[in-house]
Amino acid sequence: MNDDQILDLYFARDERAIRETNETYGAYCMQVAERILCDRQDAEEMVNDTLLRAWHTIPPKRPVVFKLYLAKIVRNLAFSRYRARAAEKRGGGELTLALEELSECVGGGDDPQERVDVKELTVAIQRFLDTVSPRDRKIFIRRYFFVESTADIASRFGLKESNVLMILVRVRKKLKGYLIKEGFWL
Amino acid sequence: MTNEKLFEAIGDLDDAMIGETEGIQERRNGHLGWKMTLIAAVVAGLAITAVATPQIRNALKGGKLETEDTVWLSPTNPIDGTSYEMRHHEIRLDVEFNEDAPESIENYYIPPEIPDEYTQYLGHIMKDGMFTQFGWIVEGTDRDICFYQWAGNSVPSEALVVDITTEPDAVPKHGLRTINGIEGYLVEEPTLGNNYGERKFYWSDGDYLFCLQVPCDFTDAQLEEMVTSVQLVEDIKPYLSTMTEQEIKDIFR
Repeated sequence: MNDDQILDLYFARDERAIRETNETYGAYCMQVAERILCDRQDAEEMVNDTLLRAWHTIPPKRPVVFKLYLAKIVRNLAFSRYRARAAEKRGGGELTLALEELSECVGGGDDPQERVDVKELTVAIQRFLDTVSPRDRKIFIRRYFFVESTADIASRFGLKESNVLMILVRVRKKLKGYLIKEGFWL
Repeated sequence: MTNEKLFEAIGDLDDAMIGETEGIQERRNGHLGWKMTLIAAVVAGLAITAVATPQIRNALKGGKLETEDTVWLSPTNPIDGTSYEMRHHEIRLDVEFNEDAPESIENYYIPPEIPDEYTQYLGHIMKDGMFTQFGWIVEGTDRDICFYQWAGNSVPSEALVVDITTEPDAVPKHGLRTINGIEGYLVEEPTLGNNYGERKFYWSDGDYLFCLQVPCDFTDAQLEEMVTSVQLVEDIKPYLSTMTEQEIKDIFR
C-alpha cells in the first residue's frame, strides 16, 4: 500500500491505517527511537505512541511526506523520554554524545529568564544549513536529526570515520559563528 | 540556549532538507537543483602486468555525473583570511552486484604494500562486517592512502555516490579505467584550498565493492601498483588498527 492509500484510511477513520503504517514504517520508526533511547522496550513504546499520535492528528493533517512526518513524531517523543530518563541519571549512548557535541554551538546554561523561540532557532539553522555543501548538510542531519553514529555515517557515505568527525567539527564551528551573528548565543 | 534546545530545533527542519538524506527527492525553494550531465566514459588500456588479485567479473559498469548549479563559498581560512569558490558534483556509480552477493564480508582484501613513509591509522571492520576501512597517512600531512570494501548486498546507496568539489568552471575528471584487467572507475578530486586532492579508483567483482584512494600526486604507475597489490588475506586481524576514536580525532585536530 502506498502512502496516499494509507492516508486515505486515516481520513476514512479506518483502523487498518495503524496496521498499515506499522507494517510500512514500524521498523524505520523503531530505528530512530532506538538510536535515541538505546533501549528496545522504550523504543517500542515510542513507536506505539507515534502510531497513536498519527491517528489523532490525521486528519486534519495530511502529511506531504508521511515517512518524515512519522520520523519527526517518534524523534520528539523519544527525546522527551530521554530527557525524563536523564533526570533519573540514566541514559548514555549516541544521543548523549550528539548532545555533547552540540554543546559546542551554544552559549551556556538554561537561563530561566531566557526564552529562546525554538521556531526561530529552527529557521536560523535552516538558513545556515543552506550555506553548507549538500554532503556536509546530509552528514549533519544524519548525526543530529537521526542520531546516527559516526561509524554508520562513514559507511553510508563511503568516507573514513575520521573524515566524518572532521566534517562535523567544521560544520559545528560554522554553526556556532552563525548563531552568534544571529543573536542566539546567550 | 542549551544543546537540548538546539537538538529540538533541528527536529523541526523542513522535510525537503531531511528528505534529502533519505533519498527523497523534493525540490527546495531557492535552489536551482541539479544539472544532469551524461558520462564521458574513457577506457584507457594500461600495460598488463602480473595479476595479484584473483580473476574477477567486472561488475562496475559506469557512472553518471550530476553537477550542481550553485557555486558555494568555502569557509574563511582562519590563518590567512582567504576563501574560495567551489562547485559540487556527484558521480553515481552503476554496479551490477550478484544476486547472491554476501551481506557481510566473507573474504577480506587488503593492499599490503604501503610505502614506508605512511603510518597506519585506520583499520576497522564496521557494521557487523558489512564494511571495512583502512587508512595510512604521512604524519603531519593530509596525504593518505585509504582502502574500502563493502559487502555487495549491504552497500548503502550513498556509498555508490562519489562527491567531487572543484573550482566553479572546472570540469571533473572521471571515467572508466582498466587496470590489470580490472575495469573500474577513476575519479580525480583536485586540491582545493586546504583540501589535498585525491585519486579514487572503484571496482567490483559482483560480490564486493572496492575503493582505493591515493593522493592526487600518485602517478598512473603508482596507482597501478597499489591496485595490483590488493589481495585476499586469510586473516584480517593483523591489519586492524588498535587506535582509539580519540587518537584518531587527535590526528585531525
